Amino acid sequence: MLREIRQNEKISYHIEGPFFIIRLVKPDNLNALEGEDYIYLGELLELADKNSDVYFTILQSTGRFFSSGADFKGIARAQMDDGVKYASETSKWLSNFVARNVYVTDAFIKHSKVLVCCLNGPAIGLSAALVALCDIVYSINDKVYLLYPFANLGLITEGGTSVSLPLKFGPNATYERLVFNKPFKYDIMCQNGFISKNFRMPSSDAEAFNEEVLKELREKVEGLYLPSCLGMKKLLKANHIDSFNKINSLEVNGSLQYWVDGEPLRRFGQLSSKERKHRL
Amino acid sequence: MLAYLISGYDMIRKASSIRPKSEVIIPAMNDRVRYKVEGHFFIIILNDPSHLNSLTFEDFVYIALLLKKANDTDSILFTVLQSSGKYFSSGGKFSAVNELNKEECTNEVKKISKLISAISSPNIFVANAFATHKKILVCCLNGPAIGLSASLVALCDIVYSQNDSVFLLFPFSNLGFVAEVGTSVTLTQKLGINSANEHMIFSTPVQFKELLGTIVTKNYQLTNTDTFNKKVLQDLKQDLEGLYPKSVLGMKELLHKEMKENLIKAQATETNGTLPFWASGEPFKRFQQLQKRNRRHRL
Repeated sequence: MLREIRQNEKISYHIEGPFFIIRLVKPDNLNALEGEDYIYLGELLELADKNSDVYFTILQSTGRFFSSGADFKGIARAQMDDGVKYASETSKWLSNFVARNVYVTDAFIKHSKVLVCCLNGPAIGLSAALVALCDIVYSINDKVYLLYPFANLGLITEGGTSVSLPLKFGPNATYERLVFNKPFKYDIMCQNGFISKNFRMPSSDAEAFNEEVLKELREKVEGLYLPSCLGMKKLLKANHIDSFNKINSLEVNGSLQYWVDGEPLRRFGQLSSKERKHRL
Repeated sequence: MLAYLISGYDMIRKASSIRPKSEVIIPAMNDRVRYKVEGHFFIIILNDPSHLNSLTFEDFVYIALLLKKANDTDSILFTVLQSSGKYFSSGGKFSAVNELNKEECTNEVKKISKLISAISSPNIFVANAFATHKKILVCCLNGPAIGLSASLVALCDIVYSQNDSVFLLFPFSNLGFVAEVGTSVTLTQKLGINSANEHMIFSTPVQFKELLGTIVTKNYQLTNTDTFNKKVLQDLKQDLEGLYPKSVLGMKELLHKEMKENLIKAQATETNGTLPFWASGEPFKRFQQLQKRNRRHRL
């Protein structure tokens, strides 16, 4: 029996055969997500995990961006809620940052189905971190990139990126991009086998791209023994699972201090009023 | 437990090294796998081109014994895997797999015991021979390699390709079981995590384009396998000239340290991971379909 789950206007899902398809559906806001949306993503992953007919969890998006990351509106709201509910700044950011971040990251780390990301465009911040936690990534074309602007926002690595990025891109390439806030562009994603296939389609055609990936996946799984796919994922994951579990705790507890000190909030404000820009 | 067994093995080796060494004689199983020693090189040759060098479980065990022999011979620096004909090796023989399923085993204990012994021979004994090998493992990849044979290629330290028509295929999900013989470690490490996922979960071949720079270090662009094998050996001899042998082996020990630990761990996770799949009977069904051509490899 499927558990009932609440609806979310920015994220939809449906099940098609062995595929649990999650789609970001707010292209006019570049699929920016608030804390509650990330929690919803985690809940959907749990739903997919518990469904024994599901073997693949597919992340799709719409429009030009996969996801531009955390929505500033949500962060501003968290800031306004001061003094009322929380005994201290630490208590406030434990609720508004730590709990959400650690939950969605854990949902991705422990997910037992094969996580496939259809990268239709750039991804930033925590959303980009989740892309790096996927098992297989397909790209719409060579204009996609991943940006982790933690240094520019007064933050540190989160969403498992302290482990996933050095593992998948090599330590030196990761330092260069994290320390200096530069994007991981298509070239390096391709060099390291991070992207399995470039579908070479126009950025304006995310919908056709999503359909094409799904069509190919349906063909690929035909005749395969699907329990083998999950058994394989489990074995391959065994190499690094301990590192991911450990870093998830270290990252959020490390970040907490930055939120309490207030630097990220100041910088998110500048970003929102366009005094500060992402470096691309 | 594992650490104890390994140190136990070392103790036995130390004890036996006190006694005068006698040459270990391994009788050839058959003509499918041969070996020869040439100076610093211990050369293992797959020699059944008319059957695309497919191998039985015993052939894999024989290769492991040869690896041990090379390991124990002080003058050897390189263990070289060569093959013959069009394929490096098309993998395990169907007949060998069917053999496992032949008798109707009504006794669950007997059935599982038989499977454990069959599954452990490649996944523990052969995988361990590669994981603990001290000499530099060189593979002369003359053509495609599939399944368990492809897993051996992935365990080698250096791989040269005859030309760009080589590929590696790990068709485990198509055959109803999971990653074996160290591939959960070697492929994630050498191809990258995402790419290893793609190729192993979907049983898609790793083509030359991707092998170059990840597993293959040099493409010889040759058409004849004998010429290729000779040329590689000639180059190795030339490359080795003037080098200090102890440095070569010392370096391997250091470079291989982390991989070795992971491979030893994987012997347990892979064997225990794959056993339930074999016990379910699914692989036997699929091997038979493959043999009757009702199922195909994805190329």
